[in-house]
Amino acid sequence: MAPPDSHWSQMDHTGIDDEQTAERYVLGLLSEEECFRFEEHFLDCPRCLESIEAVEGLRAGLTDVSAADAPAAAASNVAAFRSRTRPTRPFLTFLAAACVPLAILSGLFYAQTRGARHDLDDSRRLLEQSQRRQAELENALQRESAERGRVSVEGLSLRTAPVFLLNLTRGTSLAEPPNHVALPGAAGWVTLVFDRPDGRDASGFRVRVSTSDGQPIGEATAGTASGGLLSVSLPSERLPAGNYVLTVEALGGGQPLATYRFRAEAKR
Amino acid sequence: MNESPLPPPADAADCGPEELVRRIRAGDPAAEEDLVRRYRRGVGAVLRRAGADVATTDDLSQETFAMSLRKIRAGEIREPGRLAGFLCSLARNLAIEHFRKAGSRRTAGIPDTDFASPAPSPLDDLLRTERAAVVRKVLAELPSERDRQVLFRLYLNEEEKDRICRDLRLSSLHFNRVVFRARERYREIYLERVKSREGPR
Repeated sequence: MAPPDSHWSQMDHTGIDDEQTAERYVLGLLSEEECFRFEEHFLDCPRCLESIEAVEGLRAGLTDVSAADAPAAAASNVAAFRSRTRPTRPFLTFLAAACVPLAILSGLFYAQTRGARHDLDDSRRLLEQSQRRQAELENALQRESAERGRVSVEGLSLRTAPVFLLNLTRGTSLAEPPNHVALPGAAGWVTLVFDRPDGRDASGFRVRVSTSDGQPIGEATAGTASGGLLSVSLPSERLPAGNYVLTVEALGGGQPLATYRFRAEAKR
Repeated sequence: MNESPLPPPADAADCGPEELVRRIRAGDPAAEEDLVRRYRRGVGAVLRRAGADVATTDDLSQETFAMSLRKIRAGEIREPGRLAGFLCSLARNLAIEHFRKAGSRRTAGIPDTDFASPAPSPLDDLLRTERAAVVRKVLAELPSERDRQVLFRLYLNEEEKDRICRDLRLSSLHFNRVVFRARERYREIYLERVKSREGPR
């Protein structure tokens, strides 16, 4: 006798596919209730289980391909670091102010125009990012047969990246950061390892790195190391000597769960 | 697409969960093997989503089944028909407890001599290379650059479907089709490679 299915019937996979339920499950985008229902369903559903495993493989493979065709390869338990470039705030403010004389007299219309411009800039930037990534992939496809089996120097660099364990910091103290990261002499990677936020039933975590005065450096999905630790690898060239803040958030957004302040300095 | 060679999950010919629980309580050793065979892949997926890496997933999976068998034998399963839900809940709770203990050790200043290195094993390298080759094939088969952008933006940028469709001027149906086909094609190619590696039987 087939087990009772609380939400998705064995025959309702059209709905599951149309709603990208397997994809949203793996990406942590289902609500807790949806997640629990889906888990109870797929434990007895070979089809959905295969979909989940395919999504996991596809996602991991896309990460590998993207990282391999970008400056360095990614390891299996660390996340490739993606830089996040933004137009500086002062420039955007200037641009918005310059639009004021052209806006209609209503103050509400002015705010809407600025908001629409921000949205448009974000969309254009993301589209350009995707197009650049696609161009890199096209080049990689043409080189694939020649490159297979070649040991990546960058991959070797990531595998031998120095690892630093960060201790949790609290508050916004201006004192010297308690964590120190010694940057390698040659261009390479550094791997930062830190605690999984305690008692959090999150499906995954997002890491953001910024300078101590708030300038964003980049962000990535945290990889999982053994012992319940999380990790992220950063290209060392993105960390000139100075003070930084690493913030951990749950996937899907929300308040920061943990903050790590660290100082990067050249290795002596 | 589990990387380790696990048996396939149960098919329709297997008994239902109530019968499985009954057999385990009756002391049938084959039933205990059936329990693991039937649910191990699913429990693994639950644990991976809870944040467990490969080694931790294996450990917690064993713990999940060991504890579930103890509870089944002791008659502590109130709804045998919801065995799957019981296993999911047990796996999730074990994962939470595992990470909570790890965090407490860190806070107490207990030195961790088992510090993880990010260096992958040769097997990890091989699996990753193979996986990347499958993904490249999937991407090459997509009819347009726009379709490839859908996958990158969904899986790597983790953007919402509505935003991707709006930016790329895609219908919802087209988006669904691209995601579904990419996933299915990945599965097909991966299985072909596994079969060709195993050779004829």
